[in-house]
Amino acid sequence: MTTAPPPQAPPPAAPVPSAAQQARARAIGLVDGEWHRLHPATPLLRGGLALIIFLGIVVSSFRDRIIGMFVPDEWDADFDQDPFGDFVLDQLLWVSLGVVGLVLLGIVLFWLAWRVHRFRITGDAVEVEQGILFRRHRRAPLARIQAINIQRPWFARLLGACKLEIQQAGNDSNVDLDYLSSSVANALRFEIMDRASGRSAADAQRLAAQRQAGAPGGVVDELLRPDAEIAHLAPDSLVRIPVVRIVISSLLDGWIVWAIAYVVATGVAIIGFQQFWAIFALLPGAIAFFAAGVKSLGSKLRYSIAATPDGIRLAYGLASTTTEIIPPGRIFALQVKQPLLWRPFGWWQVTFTRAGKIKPDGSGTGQSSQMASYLLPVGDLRDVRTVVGLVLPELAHSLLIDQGLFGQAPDAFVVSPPRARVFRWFSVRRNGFHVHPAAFLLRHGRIWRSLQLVPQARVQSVALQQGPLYGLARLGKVQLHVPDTVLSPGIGAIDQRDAALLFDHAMRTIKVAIDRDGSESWASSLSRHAVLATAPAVQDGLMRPPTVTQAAPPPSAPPPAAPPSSAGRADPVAARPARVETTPPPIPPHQHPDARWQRPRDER
Amino acid sequence: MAERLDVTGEWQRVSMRYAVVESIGSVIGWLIVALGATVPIWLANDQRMPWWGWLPLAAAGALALIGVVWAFLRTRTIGYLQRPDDLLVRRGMLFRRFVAVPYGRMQIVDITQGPIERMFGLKTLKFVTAAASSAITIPGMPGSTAEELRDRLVAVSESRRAGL
Repeated sequence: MTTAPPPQAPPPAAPVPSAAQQARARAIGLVDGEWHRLHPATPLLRGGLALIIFLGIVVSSFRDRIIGMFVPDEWDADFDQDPFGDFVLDQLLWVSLGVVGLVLLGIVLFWLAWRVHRFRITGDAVEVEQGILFRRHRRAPLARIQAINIQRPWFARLLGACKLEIQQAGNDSNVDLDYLSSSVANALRFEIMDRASGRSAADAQRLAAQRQAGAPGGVVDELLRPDAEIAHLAPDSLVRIPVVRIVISSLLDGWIVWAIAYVVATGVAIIGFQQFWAIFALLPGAIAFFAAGVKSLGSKLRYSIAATPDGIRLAYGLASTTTEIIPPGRIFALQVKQPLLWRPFGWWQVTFTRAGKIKPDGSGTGQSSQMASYLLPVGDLRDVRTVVGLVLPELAHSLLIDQGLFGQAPDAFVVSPPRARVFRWFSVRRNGFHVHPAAFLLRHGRIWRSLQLVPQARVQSVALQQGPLYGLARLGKVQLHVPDTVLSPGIGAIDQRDAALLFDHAMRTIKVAIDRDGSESWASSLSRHAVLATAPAVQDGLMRPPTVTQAAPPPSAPPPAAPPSSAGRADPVAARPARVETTPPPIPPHQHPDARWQRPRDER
Repeated sequence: MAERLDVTGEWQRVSMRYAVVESIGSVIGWLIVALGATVPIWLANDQRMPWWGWLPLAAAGALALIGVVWAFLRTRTIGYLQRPDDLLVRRGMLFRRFVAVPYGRMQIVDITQGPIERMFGLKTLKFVTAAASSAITIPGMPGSTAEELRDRLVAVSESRRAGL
């Protein structure tokens, strides 16, 4: 910050630049490819807390003596019991010199660490360099950014600082800029996003103007809303989750059932079997369940999700907040599921997997590691459609969602044959898959319903498996491999010919989808949907559109205003004459591997 | 027996010498188990061998024999197939597994060689994608073939690099 050059190109229209414009100008100064340092308060935030705690201990242990110095008569405590204090008083000069020296040394060390901790943002990567004895250099290619988070631990919020976390694929491979000044961090995120997205300079300018037009006003907003700094991009969260719903759903989501079972079992042990010692098992158990409940609640409160030009925006947290922007194509799989006790309310939960992992020891925000896998903590069918539509717009109004969540055998899904009843007792007519041009839909479970959606272009590899028992029953299993282990999408107990067909078909559709996928630099001249509209698709009968007559309408929640032509619209390519072999579309110029290098480094 | 799951194509088999490698591994493993069972018996009976003391050795021998037969049968099922857009790998007789990886999705191609494999001039090819569950290996490739295949795959996947 201290080295930020003066604003390079202040817009001439505004004689007095607003706060947002200043922030943007400073952020532009930071992305010039030169090395910059972090927020001056960084040493305090990273290591200074220990110093404060140390001072607190010292002060509290000398409290009695200090009080005694000022009011010697009333405070007649016996100092003989305090040899440490006596020693300190005897050797006052040396002790004070030592303390001052230690503090100075600490300040110098932290200052040095801050001096050598630098970052730079070039045309194609973000780099961070740190460490005095052990130098560490980390580089995040812009094209491989999975998400950019801004985390605000509560103590950093007090100082107006925050942590910019650039997520990359792989375990513990994030590039953190901690800490930055809050106002700049936000503008800096947009600058990085602009570069990563391959947006033209004119588009970037236009977006920045939009952002500045609706810039948020002041500290109050920031305290009240976790997403204040990007709230104006999409003013309202797309889903609204009442607090009551969060509380009830958390109560019904498994752990409360176990808590009650635990209490009942202990009660039986105490009263029924006269085992009074069992009462001592109650308290730790109660504390554990309470802590688990509070944790799961805290991570769901104040949740908001919205669409921005740079992808999905998630914001959550009470005291320590996190806002995340996940660019398009960084979500590898979705799962919509319904715990059994949620069924009377018609609630669903949407989880997702991503390539990066958040460190579980992230400073003060242990919730993020848990939270970051929810796209929707709890919501009704309409919310599910909204959220799925953010990731897979093609499916937002499709009947396939209804069929996937509620449907049974005679519908668009290819389900298990009746002889698979041994393996899927209740769900043999539900257990199935459907191949949509945009995604694979895998439907499971009749009692615990779930639906997995895997975007075609995100599949890494496909496995076709058959064990000896499946072999006897002529069944097979197909697994779609995606990064990370939160979800492992797959479908078992389907007819082996269907499985082989799906396997064969998947490899061809995935190939086409990969060729069409432009999400690596998502805002380049040719948008994803433009490509989708022009590129050919594979047809071999698996992708038949869902028929309206066979749709099983949900008992409680009708599809929200699905247009009558939704069946046809859900699968526009299905209307074309079927063809099995297609030639891949030519790779658009912006997807060429060298396109990044041809882009001018600094267009501004 | 019903027709099992299969994917047709001109599969490339791996070298049958890999079955010998596997057999040696299996025999050594069972030998260690047999020694661990018989030596204590020999020591506990005043360094004389009762007749039943040979039973563990015989059992281990039988199991090692089964292991050898199994290794030969299983090696026959290992294969790979280079298709225009992806690499297909199969293995397993009872537990069949076919994995297909689009060329653009391969992140790393590794070649490893254990001590027994080295004696027979074989190498193991290992593919890493962004998904840990892919877990694709082709064991038992003769050295030159392994390197040729690796070079070809690296070249193809470089030209089709497709993000994640």
